[in-house]
Amino acid sequence: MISLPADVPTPQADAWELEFWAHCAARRLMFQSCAACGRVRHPPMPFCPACRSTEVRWREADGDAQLFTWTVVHHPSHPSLVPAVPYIVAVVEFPALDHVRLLTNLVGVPADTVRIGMALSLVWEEPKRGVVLPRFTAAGDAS
Amino acid sequence: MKGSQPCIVGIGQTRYTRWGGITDATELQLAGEAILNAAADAGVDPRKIDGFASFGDDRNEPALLAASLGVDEVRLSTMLWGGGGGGSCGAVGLAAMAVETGQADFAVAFRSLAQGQTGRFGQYDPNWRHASFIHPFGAIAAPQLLALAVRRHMHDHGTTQEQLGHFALTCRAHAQRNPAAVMQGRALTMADYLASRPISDPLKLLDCCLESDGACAVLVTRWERARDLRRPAVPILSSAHGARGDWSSGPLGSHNQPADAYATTGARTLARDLYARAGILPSDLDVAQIYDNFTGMAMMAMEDFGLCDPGGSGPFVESGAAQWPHGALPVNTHGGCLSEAYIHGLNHVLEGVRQMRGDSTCQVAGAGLCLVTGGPGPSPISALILGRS
Ligand SMILES: [Zn+2]
Repeated sequence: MISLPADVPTPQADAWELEFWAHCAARRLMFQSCAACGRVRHPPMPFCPACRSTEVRWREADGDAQLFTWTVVHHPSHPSLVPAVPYIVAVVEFPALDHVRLLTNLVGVPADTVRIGMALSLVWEEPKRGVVLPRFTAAGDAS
Repeated sequence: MKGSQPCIVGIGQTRYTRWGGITDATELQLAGEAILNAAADAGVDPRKIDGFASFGDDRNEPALLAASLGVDEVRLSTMLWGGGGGGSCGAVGLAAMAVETGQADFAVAFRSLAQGQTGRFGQYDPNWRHASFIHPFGAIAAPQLLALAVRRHMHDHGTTQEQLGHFALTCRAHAQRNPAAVMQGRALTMADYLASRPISDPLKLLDCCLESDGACAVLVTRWERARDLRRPAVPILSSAHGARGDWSSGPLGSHNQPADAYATTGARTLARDLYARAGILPSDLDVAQIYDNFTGMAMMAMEDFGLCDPGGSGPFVESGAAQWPHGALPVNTHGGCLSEAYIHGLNHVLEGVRQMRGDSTCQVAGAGLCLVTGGPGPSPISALILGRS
């Protein structure tokens, strides 16, 4: 498995999503949480769904990350992905952060060793200047 | 029936082809052709059509359709939110609401596709909801995003690859009797299914719906106008569109749909309300047309709408329960999006009407109640309960 090419689309984030990516640019995986009640939410949104507060405190995903589900993509649905297949798209869950989930990739993990629930470690990749993406590998394999 | 009861009185379609197969007519022309066929089926003068409803970011504006079809007056011009096929039944529901409240007399729900001319549905779209959180990771189109939910369903419930295959085979078998089906004449075996190429595992090519050109239209009016028309009126016993409030972009976006409904279509509460308004139970159904963008997603919808237990769709389809003519509850008797055509699920509504009229090519004997559902994955999804007059 290889990481994805530099020309895979990286769409412009909406205004209230930009801060998530600004944290990524600093290589910190941060999720939006409510400054009033603590509820973690993703993707970013203007109001806390639990208490309607607009006050935000960003919390770092520095603890547990577990594989929630995954797929091996064989058919490239964008020209940039033709040289990349097969690759693994994954959903990673963060139990310490209200089980918020992040859609990402598994890198350096052979498909026959992937198991739902496996512990994962964060790796940062910068496919092109200014685009810093959080990806994951098997826990203990991060370098 | 109350005079205000909304009924489907006409259905119309064009030819169905593989996507890009229709080059001699525009989408607007195909929409008009389907609408005129629906009016002719009902025996309604096209000038009397005064309502237009569609879904999924339809490109064919009612103002242009109305002018070209020469209708007298437009009283309803509406579309359901959501970019996918979730709104197929919901568009019919909007038409039903308009005629029931007297805002329109003859409202038509339509869908038209000529994708060689306009671009394929569901391809790379930088305006996709939450695109910045999915596209950089190579999750660009529906198969990659929804395969994640299907994999989790297999993990949670033990659903097998072969069980997904049984759903595909069921649709293909039904399509063999349907002359309009793109896949008529192309019978399928489990070996064919298992040998089909992987798209985004566990989804294989034969787990994915067709991509089609063609158009469908459904004409709706009140019972007081419906009862004297050419064909038997098919009452819309209830309609619903929506989803849980916390569904957000769901499995077609960031995958933060609620944990207790992750590997579902988010429609359990919608289904409960749909049946309650119709005054029936899922066990009363005779036949169902389930929007099948992908095998595994349709199977989750079957669970949410109570055709089987939660998590039980795999054994249900494997047992043959969804097969016509001997299954307890035949599903997608026209062949579905997998094997008839992918007119974004409005073709499922047409098949529901045929079943209630008694003239399906896989007719369920004495069928009197049909469930039709719209696209699983997004919010809103939608559904109808059709009956007999
Ligand atoms: Zn809060």
